[in-house]
Amino acid sequence: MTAEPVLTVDNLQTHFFTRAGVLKALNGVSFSVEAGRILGMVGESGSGKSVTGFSILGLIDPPGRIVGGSVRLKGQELVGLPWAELRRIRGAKIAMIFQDPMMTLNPVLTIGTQMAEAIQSHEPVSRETALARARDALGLVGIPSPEERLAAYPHQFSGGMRQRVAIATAFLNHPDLIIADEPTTALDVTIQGQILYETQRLCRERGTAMIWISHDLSVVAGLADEICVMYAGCIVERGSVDAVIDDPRHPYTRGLIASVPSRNRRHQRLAQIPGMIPSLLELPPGCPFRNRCELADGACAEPPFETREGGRAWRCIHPVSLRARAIA
Amino acid sequence: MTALAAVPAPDEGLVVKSPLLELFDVTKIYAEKPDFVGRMVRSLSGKPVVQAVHAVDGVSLRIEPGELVGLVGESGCGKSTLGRVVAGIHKPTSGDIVYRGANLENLEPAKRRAVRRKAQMVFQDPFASLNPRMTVLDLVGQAPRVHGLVNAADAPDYVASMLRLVGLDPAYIHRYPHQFSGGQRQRLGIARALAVNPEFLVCDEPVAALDVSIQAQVINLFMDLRERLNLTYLFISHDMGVIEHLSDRIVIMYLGRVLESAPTETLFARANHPYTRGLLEGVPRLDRRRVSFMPIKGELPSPLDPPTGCHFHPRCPHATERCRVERPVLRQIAPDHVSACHLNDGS
Amino acid sequence: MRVTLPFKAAAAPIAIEGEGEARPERVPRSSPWRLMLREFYESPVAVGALAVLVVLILAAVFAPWLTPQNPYDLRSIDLLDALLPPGETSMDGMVFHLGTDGQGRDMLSAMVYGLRVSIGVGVISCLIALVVGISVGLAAAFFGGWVETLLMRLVDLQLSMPSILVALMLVAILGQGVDKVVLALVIVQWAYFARTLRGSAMVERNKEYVEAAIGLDVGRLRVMFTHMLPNALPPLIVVASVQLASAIALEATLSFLGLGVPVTEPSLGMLIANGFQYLLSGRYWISVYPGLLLLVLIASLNLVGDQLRDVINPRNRR
Ligand SMILES: Nc1ncnc2c1ncn2[C@@H]1O[C@H](COP(=O)(O)OP(=O)(O)OP(=O)(O)O)[C@@H](O)[C@H]1O
Ligand SMILES: Nc1ncnc2c1ncn2[C@@H]1O[C@H](COP(=O)(O)OP(=O)(O)OP(=O)(O)O)[C@@H](O)[C@H]1O
Ligand code: SF4
Ligand SMILES: [Mg+2]
Ligand SMILES: [Mg+2]
Repeated sequence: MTAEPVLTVDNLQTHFFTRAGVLKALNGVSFSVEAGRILGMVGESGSGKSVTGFSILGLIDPPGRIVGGSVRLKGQELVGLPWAELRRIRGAKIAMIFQDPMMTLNPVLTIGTQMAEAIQSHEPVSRETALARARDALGLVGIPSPEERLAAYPHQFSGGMRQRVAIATAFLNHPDLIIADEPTTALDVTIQGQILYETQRLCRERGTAMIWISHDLSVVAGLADEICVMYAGCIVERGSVDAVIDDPRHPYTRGLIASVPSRNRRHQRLAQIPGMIPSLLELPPGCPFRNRCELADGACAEPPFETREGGRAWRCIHPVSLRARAIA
Repeated sequence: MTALAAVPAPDEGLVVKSPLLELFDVTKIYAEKPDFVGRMVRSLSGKPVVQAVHAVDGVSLRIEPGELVGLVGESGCGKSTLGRVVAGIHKPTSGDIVYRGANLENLEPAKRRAVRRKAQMVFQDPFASLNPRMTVLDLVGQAPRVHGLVNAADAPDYVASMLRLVGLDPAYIHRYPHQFSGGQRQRLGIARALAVNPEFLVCDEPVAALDVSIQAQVINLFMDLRERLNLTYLFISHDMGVIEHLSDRIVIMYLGRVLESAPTETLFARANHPYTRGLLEGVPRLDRRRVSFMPIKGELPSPLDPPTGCHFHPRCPHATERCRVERPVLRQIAPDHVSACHLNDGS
Repeated sequence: MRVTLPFKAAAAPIAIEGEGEARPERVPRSSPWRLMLREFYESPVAVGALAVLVVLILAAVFAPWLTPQNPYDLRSIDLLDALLPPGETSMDGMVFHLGTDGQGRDMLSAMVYGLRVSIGVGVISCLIALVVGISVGLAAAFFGGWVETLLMRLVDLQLSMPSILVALMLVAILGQGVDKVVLALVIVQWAYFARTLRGSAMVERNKEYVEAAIGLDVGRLRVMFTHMLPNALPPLIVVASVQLASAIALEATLSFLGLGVPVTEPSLGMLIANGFQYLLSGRYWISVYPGLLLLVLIASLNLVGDQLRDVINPRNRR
């Protein structure tokens, strides 16, 4: 039943060697994604979500470097692969979607040309076939009259449409994995809803694994199967969406969920996490959350190990237990 | 004693509440006047010479004292423009603004400006909304000094008290904005608005740029201030969760027009307008897992060229021929609940 | 000292959970200008150019105390010393490190005095042009409408004409003299400042902090001068450094053509012109040294300007 995951990330460490010192952006990130599943990655700004995505793709530029850990795509190790090899994999097996679709779209080429080239650079097909496939892909993400749209330039599209083109392009070569970095953050609620719907359907149908990076817990709750909660370069908690959101174990996850405005507690004060993320330049040893955590004690000065239970895991030695909360 | 007794006791039930602010048919048009060459190109290509955006298109609104009204809508629907008109930063192209029963048009300029100051604005962008070359002391203290609320010698104490009010350390008084985090800057923006002693705050997406945990702190601050200072709010947001949490009443805007307005519970329980219903269904929420339906079809039309009749008709599942030609007006469909849709005219 | 608060509530602070911990970490305790300065120092070339510039300016300011000879004082000049090559000694034992010119003036002294005239004319004309440009640009950006259209058309008109031609024409009409040259330079330069300031002020005008100031009703002049102007200035500093260089070059050109400053107070341009006739006879020093000095002056101004631009405009950063 349990197939081998498409992507396995194990103890990944990425550091930036900046002038001000070593910035430890990722400190041992481990997770895996299976085919057809969506993994939501949430965390506050600067927690290392984007760096995780870029590290998987091998797109960390100096002064940054992956200093440890492994990234395996269907068993193949990606860390340390030569640049040319990584590039081939990036086009064909892993695709990426960014918050700003113009990161991947070329403003001076038509959509059709760009999409056809994306296909032809990885498969020896004729331009006609490639264009036909591009057209079908546009149709799949809900772009009306895709035939005509192939001849349009990116600036002739609205922001939402451009993002759809980016998504269609990502799915073109039937990749094993798509990494989407806040693709709907800049979009309107109704457009975001449409895109969430289309992506979810495509992943299911195609069996594509997806990592959906977002700072919005509600979006991830609505879209993903699994969730990873990041804090200061660590995954502090991961597991199925239902398990993590309905029964969080890590104090940070619990604080995050409680700070989301909810219809059940209208006009009441929201829970707030005091303080702010520690500087990644001088991370204290031990649990990175301990200066903001109400449960912290001397034991938290040791780096917390990962506790696994069922399909989930958390990194805290004082997990919030269900029983304690039932009493409170 | 007798004289006092003649004044009716301030009994909730007896006193007819007079609104704090009323808007009547307020319109704001941004006309982009092209230069000579632009005009030639346009007239040759048969386009209208002057491009006009009806950023706010005939909005009437009523805000009671102490109320927190949430204003919701998608990008470009005119929320910020309406907020700026209400806060007196922009003048409306047409329409009346009535503040505590006085039409601003009819007031003499000095009085009008004094009334205008009672409405202040808190902005979205924690970076662009604070003058980067002013210290906190000037940033917060300039307006109260100009208006004689405090003299130069007492300004530091006054500003310090404002900082304490918004939960900032008064020791920060000589710092510059770039030395603060996003959430702290938002607090500074709030302190600046509060420094001229307003009774009405227009908040234009004040938490949209903040992280969830910081967002919670700022939302709590807004709720505390409301209680302490008896403030009235027009709270603009595109985040339904935030609006639902805070608002007493919600106003839904679409392409410059108000489509629906109702008390929060009513709106969430019995939304009337097809757009509102679609919007509420499409909003991601913590307790809603796996999107399994498509919320609202289609793209947001360009505000430069809005659809005829009902602005929502190209995306509306119930649109009829009438919706394409006739603009629906806001009609009362239940006490305190108005909606602008032809479906309410009965069949 | 008692502070009257508009409302009682302000007296007691609201308890904010986590207050105190929410302090920004390790923030630099400095103003935005100081930050810029620190970044400026990151380029050794620019710092070197700035050092050269400072030396040149100091030399120009303190010329009477630094130079061995006063080239304006005819009594100290001996025609017998004319056209001596660098290193020669005069009758009365004075060493001419850079030689002498056709009238027997010490080149080094003449150059330092020439520098004084060149920098003086450039700085004064730039400052006046700056004030004019700022006023025009700020007015155009703040008032908009027909005020803006009128002012900016004027700017366009001015910018569409080549500055050297305009300057030549003006000097030809106005006649010679330092004040006339300054006037001509102001007329060709104000438009650059006006256009730049209007551009950056327009950007600031639409920022939320300006809207906030309008909403707080602090008054038009305060919005213009305490909010828009300080934030719109940085790009102008860059333009000023470049324009200063071009003003000096323009003045040198005019003087070289004999239309600039009077012969009695030669600027660098005039020194070059004076030596021009001797160049072919091998007496290079009379033209070449002032030329080199002009080159160094303009180059260091431009280098400083480039680094200022990089510091002020983050888009140009690596
Ligand atoms: N090129 C770089 N050089 C130095 N530090 C970097 C670089 N890229 C990222 N970082 C640092 O790595 C940390 C993690 O950044 P990352 O972009 O992954 O955050 P994020 O979780 O994606 O945040 P956001 O929600 O703001 O996008 C941050 O502290 C950031 O400053
Ligand atoms: N200064 C301006 N000049 C011309 N058009 C403008 C100006 N300000 C706003 N508009 C236009 O008016 C319309 C409404 O803009 P507004 O900023 O009020 O929308 P909004 O609802 O606040 O959107 P958002 O959610 O993106 O902030 C938009 O179409 C916008 O392009
Ligand atoms: S008026 Fe017509 S188009 Fe508009 S919302 Fe109602 S039914 Fe839909
Ligand atoms: Mg990111
Ligand atoms: Mg807005």
